Amino acid sequence: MDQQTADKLIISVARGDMKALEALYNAMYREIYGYLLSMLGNTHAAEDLAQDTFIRVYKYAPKFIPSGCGKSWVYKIAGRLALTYFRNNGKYDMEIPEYVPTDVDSEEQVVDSQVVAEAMRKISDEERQIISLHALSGLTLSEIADILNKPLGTVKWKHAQAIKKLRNILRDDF
Amino acid sequence: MKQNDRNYKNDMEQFSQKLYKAVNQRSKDVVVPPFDAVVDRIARVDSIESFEQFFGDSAKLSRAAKSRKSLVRIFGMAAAALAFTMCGILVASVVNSRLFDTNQQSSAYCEDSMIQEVHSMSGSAEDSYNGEDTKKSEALMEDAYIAQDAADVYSHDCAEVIISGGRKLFVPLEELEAAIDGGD
Repeated sequence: MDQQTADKLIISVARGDMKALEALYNAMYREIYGYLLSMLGNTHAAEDLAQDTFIRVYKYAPKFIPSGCGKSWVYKIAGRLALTYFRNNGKYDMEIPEYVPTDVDSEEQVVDSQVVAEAMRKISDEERQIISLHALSGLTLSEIADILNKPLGTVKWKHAQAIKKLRNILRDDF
Repeated sequence: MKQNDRNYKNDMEQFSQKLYKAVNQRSKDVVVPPFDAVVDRIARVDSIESFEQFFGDSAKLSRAAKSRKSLVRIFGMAAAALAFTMCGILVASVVNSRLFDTNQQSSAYCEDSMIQEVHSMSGSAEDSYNGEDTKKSEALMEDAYIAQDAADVYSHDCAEVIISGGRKLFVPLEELEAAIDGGD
């Protein structure tokens, strides 16, 4: 889903269109869940907050100002929920959810996925967020900078550092 | 050198692609909970919000009560300070008045004792006169006269009287005159 489509759906949600909210939910749930999991490191908390994110979208949609950044707006809501969660509950140790491969996954894909999940634990929280956002949502580094409220240069540098670190960690296994 | 840079860049790009594919792979298998669960939670949140709206006034009242409480506390402290000051003033005035009373009583006691002495002096003179002990009576009267002569008037109704033995007495003139008259 691109930013403009997200804009249109959020505007419809603001008018009380639950179908639009459902479409947004189905399109973005996985991304949001993955982003929250990269921040929280806990599957149950990520599931709860992912649903909470869409409840907030429904609640605050009337206040949304469409400017081609609907997707980023949803990510910002998720990010704020995660920060509130940290404040109230502290931080969990990063947990690697058990990967249940589907029939279409090759053995190589399964191994890669598990190895990458292990490697992602070894980089900083911010680096993990940037990689997750870039990989899961296809957001540009500029959009990620906006979501994380960081200068673009910082995000670009951290992204490059994260890739380098992961390259070194996964040199033998990947 | 440039070839090395290009190789490094290509290597990193290939790695990034593989990495992102692996990260995405995991998210693809995430089971999306049914949307009904979100609808239920929205309904719950709505009911909670209407509940909050319903009790919003009481929450405001509670805030008002809190501010009232703090106002009462401020006024209470001011009243306590005022009461403390008043108590201080009262205690000071009581102590002062008691001291004053003591002075008064003390001066009254002195005055009484002086009057008694003058009375006893004049009484003795009278007794001596009645008992025809004229010598003693005359001596006493003489003392009284001397006292009158030696009187150093401090005020219009009080005099310092030197009586026999060189003792000094502050005697109201009226009493002194009465004593002298009684002596006669």
